[in-house]
Amino acid sequence: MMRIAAAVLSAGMALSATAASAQEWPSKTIKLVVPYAPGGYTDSVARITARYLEKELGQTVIVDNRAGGGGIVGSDLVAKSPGDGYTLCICSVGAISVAPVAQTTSYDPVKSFKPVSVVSTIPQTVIVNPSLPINTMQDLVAYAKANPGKLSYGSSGAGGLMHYSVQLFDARNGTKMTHVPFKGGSPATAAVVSGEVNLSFTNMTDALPQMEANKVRALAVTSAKRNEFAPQLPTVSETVTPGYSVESWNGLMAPASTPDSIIAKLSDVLKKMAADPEVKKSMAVVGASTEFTTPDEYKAQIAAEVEQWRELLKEIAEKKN
Amino acid sequence: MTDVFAQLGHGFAVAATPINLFFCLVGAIFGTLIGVLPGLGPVATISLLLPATYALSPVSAIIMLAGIYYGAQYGGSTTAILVNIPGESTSVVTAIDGYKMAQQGRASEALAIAAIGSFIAGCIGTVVIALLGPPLALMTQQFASPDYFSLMVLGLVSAVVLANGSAFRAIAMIFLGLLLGMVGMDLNTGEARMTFGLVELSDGINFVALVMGLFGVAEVISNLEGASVRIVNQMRIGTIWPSFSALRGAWGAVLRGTALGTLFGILPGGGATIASFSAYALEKRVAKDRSRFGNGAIEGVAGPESANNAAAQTSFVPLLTMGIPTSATMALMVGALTLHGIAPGPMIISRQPDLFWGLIASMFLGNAMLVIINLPMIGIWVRLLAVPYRLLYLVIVVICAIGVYSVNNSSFDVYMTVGFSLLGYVLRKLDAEPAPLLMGFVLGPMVEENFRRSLITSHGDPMVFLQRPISLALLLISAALLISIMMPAIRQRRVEVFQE
Amino acid sequence: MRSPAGRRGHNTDFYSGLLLVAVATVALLYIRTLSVGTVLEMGPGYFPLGLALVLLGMGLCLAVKGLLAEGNPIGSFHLRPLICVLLSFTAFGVLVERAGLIIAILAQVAIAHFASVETRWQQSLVSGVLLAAASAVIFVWLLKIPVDLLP
Repeated sequence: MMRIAAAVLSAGMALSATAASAQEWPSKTIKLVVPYAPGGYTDSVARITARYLEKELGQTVIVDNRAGGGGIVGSDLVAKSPGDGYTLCICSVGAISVAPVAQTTSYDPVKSFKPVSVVSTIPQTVIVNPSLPINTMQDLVAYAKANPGKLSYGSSGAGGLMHYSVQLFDARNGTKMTHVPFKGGSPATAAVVSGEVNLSFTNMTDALPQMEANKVRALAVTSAKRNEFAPQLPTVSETVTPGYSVESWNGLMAPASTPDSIIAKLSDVLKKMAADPEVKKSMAVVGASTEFTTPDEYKAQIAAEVEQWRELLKEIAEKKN
Repeated sequence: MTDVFAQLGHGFAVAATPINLFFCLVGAIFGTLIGVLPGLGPVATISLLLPATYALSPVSAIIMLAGIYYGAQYGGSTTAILVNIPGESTSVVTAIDGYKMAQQGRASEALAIAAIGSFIAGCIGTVVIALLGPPLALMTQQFASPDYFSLMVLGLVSAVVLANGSAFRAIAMIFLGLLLGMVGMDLNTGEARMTFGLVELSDGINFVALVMGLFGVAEVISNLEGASVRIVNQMRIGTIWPSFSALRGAWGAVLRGTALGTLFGILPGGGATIASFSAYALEKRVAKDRSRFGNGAIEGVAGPESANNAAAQTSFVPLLTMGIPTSATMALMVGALTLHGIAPGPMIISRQPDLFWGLIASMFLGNAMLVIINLPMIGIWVRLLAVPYRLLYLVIVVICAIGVYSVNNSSFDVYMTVGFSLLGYVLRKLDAEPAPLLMGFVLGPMVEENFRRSLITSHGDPMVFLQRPISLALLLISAALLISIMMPAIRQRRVEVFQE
Repeated sequence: MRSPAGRRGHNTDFYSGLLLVAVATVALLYIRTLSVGTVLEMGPGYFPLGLALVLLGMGLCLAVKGLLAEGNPIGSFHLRPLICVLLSFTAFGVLVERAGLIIAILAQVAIAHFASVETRWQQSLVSGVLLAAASAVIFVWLLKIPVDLLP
């Protein structure tokens, strides 16, 4: 009975606190929505972030996994949530910059959210099955051109970043590779190891352990700059496709109606977090680099990315016709 | 070989430290709890409890989380047997004969064989990981999409064997399940299919909502039909303690189930589910008197329960030897390890011997703890049946509702349960069996995925299914099984014709 | 097992067939817009279309069989437990995110109470309160599912 009384009491207190102004934020548990299944790379980043926010804000931060539709379901939920600072999202590039262009979503990547900051970035790694006579990016392009449609690549599903990054690569190099979708990035990477598919533009988290064990051959990273975890790998941009840059990011976003004072407070915390050595170490295990951007920079980045994918899809559609 | 034993000895030294023993026990208890509560599965629980492990060492954390996972397999059969609510796909077949046994007053027997079978299977499965982990992992690398497709076909043929009524109607139910499984986003194009424009359906119909509706809630509704019927009398308590002579007949089933589970558990995706369904089908095929199945055959509980627990152990093989997670739970284990600063990969055995061998040793200890926890609990569970049904059903509906909700924290899933309860009730009135439907539902998406992927990678050559030896062998077994199902029917018809 | 109630057109075969035909028809309506593709390049509609057509065929076979021959009688429907139990779940779903877990459970028990004629309101009330308390402890406190207890 005591427990119930305590629950009633604390709930009552929480109720009266909601009415208080945003000045006193946060006064109750914060829900950090992850639009992906637990265990994935975004989930890990979210949990690292939740741990840090909890420490800095002095409030419980719970991770709420709302997987579905490649991140659309959870992102949609956050877009529709009240902007009181108690529902936040660790969103990711797939559902924010790619999906709204590639399919129909009920949210607008720029208008439905208030971005706070990018939390971490992770490049994709071009990996091939070691039995192939492909040792460099130049080899890859030459092989693909000599054998159109013969090389197959695994992706985490149609319309995801692993799919579109190869589409972009094909479009820029005039190559044609066969798309083989899997249910998630991890089985797609496993398929490169077993040789069921020839290659994949897979994220660093999945690629690193297999690279170390020589189960796959890594050729390059897709980001604009070389990556700290595999500095020996060149970028796609410096080898065969100048200007090519695809990077997966995870960032903290809030519903569009969230007051600016809360966004500012969160931004300050995330700035500290990006410099925190503990956080850097945890992110490194995931294969991610910590980052900080101001809300304005973040917003501009999303708008630019949406434009990039919109143009690519137009390009692909034109080529098909 | 001696090397393995030396390392295993080291593993026991790691696992038997008081702190690790304690967290193994905590995991086992949590696992039993969530196994018993329908709906809330290991994925949800592990992700919710993950933050609580941050303060622990990685070895303790993973020992506890693994305990939750295989502990849930022990508890999963409890509600399937007592109230016809299978909490997971692997205990769907357990409900068929287990619930019948409970109604006959043999609940304690069913629960006991489930626990003992799980224990034996868990230990054998763990021995297999320790001795054969790496070579078995290499074997799974030989499996490509065409082989998985053929494996799924074998699973679907087994589902026909599940049915007690006509094979034609069972096949119709499988197709209904396959069609329901198609709901959601198409993997190859990202297009929404049969989602009625609902974004909540883009990842398909929630399995727990489907299973709770078809089995549990429909059962509750039909139990409440007879106003004057004393449901309590139907649910006889029977003896509190099982007679061990009654269990003796199930040894063969336990061992066969273990073998199937150990083998299929290593395979990604539906491995454990296929293991439990095919274990049931196998028992029904080898039994002298098939009519006992569906009417409380103890082998119908022993085989599948052993299979799913063996599979729960061996599903760790690809993760621990290659860093490749093969299910949502294993993906979560990867996440847990990464948060503890360990990136699982092919090097994990050599780099983290404490973790690998400690975990394996803890599985032996955990299984022993689980059987010690579960056997005395049988008495409590069986007494639960003495609670008047007018109170018990209120508990069942509330737990079902929370269970469904908690899978995705989604009210939509609760509404879906309402729809499937109605469907389940109607199917019941039409004498249609829901188990083959569920098998179709579970396997449908995988059948399609692997079929389409096979044709993409073979550049459109359908012969790929016959050219690969593994695939060919599985298809031949499926064909043989299908013929053996059809034969009695054909023979019977012939006899009828002659008599006329 | 044949009873007069299972006469032609009024047996489980006929109505099962009808149910399958109905499901297949609805599915076909929604599959219509999906591209089917060819055997070599299957579109998203290929598998569902094939399955729905097989289901339609099997449903028609069953329905015809039910019309031509006698079969098992269909069970009788009891609306009171059906409606009350289904409503109780709906109430839980509506309330759990709006009013919190405790109120959702109490509402569910209150509605489910009317599903049986044997329930007594005092007992149901006590069960409801105990269930709400136990759920709060087990699900929210112990298993930490992210749901509010009260509004």
